[in-house]
Amino acid sequence: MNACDRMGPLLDAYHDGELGRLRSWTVRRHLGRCPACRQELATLGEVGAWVRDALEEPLAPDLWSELRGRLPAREARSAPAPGERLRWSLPARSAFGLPAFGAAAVAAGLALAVWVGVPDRFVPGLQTTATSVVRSLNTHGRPVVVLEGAGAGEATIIWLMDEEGVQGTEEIASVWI
Amino acid sequence: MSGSERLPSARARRRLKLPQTLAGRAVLCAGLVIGAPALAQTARTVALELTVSHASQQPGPVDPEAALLHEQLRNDFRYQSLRVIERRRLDLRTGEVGGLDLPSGKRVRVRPLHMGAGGVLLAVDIENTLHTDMRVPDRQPVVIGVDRYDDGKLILTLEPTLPAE
Repeated sequence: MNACDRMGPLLDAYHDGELGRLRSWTVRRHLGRCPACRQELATLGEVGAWVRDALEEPLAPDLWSELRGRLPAREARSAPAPGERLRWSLPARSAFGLPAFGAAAVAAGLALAVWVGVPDRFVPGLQTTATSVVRSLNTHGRPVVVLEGAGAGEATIIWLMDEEGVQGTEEIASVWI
Repeated sequence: MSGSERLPSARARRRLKLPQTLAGRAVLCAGLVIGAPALAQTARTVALELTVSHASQQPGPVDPEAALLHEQLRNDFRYQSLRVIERRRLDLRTGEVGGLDLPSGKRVRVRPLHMGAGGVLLAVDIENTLHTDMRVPDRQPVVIGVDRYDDGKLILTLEPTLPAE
């Protein structure tokens, strides 16, 4: 599994702002070096824009009438006012031509894959895997950031922070030496 | 003292000699089979290139010798200049300890613990600062940001080159 394979699931979460600070940093670090993953991230952004645009398209004025005509009479009787129903029906539209339930299932599956399948490669407390470079680490209590090299030629970085604590890791390239 | 009393006959010597030779050869072969890898292992050395660099907040150039390090750091760390202070190559056998002194006065000690297909298992100790064991693949650098020094940070880079199989 190469670096891009490992980053794949993280990119979705990164795009959605679901990663913690350190994992975000790991992704940004990889993006800084990998045009393919930058392109992948840009594609994710475009897809998101398409979905937003699709959701903002005005509905045909007679859409609700047409739908209500297809519903059984009892459901039609208990249906809320058209304006109210409209608010709730918009998010249920299919994002990619899939049935809404299918899209929800796919989204749930992706979320599960991100949660379950992403190895914890960023190791503030050092969680090693079989392929980790760093196997044990004692910093005498100093905070440390470990960035495992993801491929040939990419360095593994062990960065001991100053005693005062972790300097801002929120933004890319924000750790002052 | 008669020779016939002390020495076996020629026939007896031949009878004795043959089994001894076979046994000797067997022992020799066994020794070679068992001992050769161990001998080879102890004879193998890993070439470790240790580089001490200084990243600084003071505006300045990036030392051409530090160009590769700059590539590894520039996306993650902010600094204004980067220079190589010292570069040293250590050829170490398994279990052998080598090292250097950082400009801050701290002693760095490295010790290869094992060499294998996955790289070299290295123990690295920076006095009162860091102790780590790492499995470092061939020619893959490890960058350690160590201590504040002057207006910047001391950076130690280790890169092993394993001997050809």
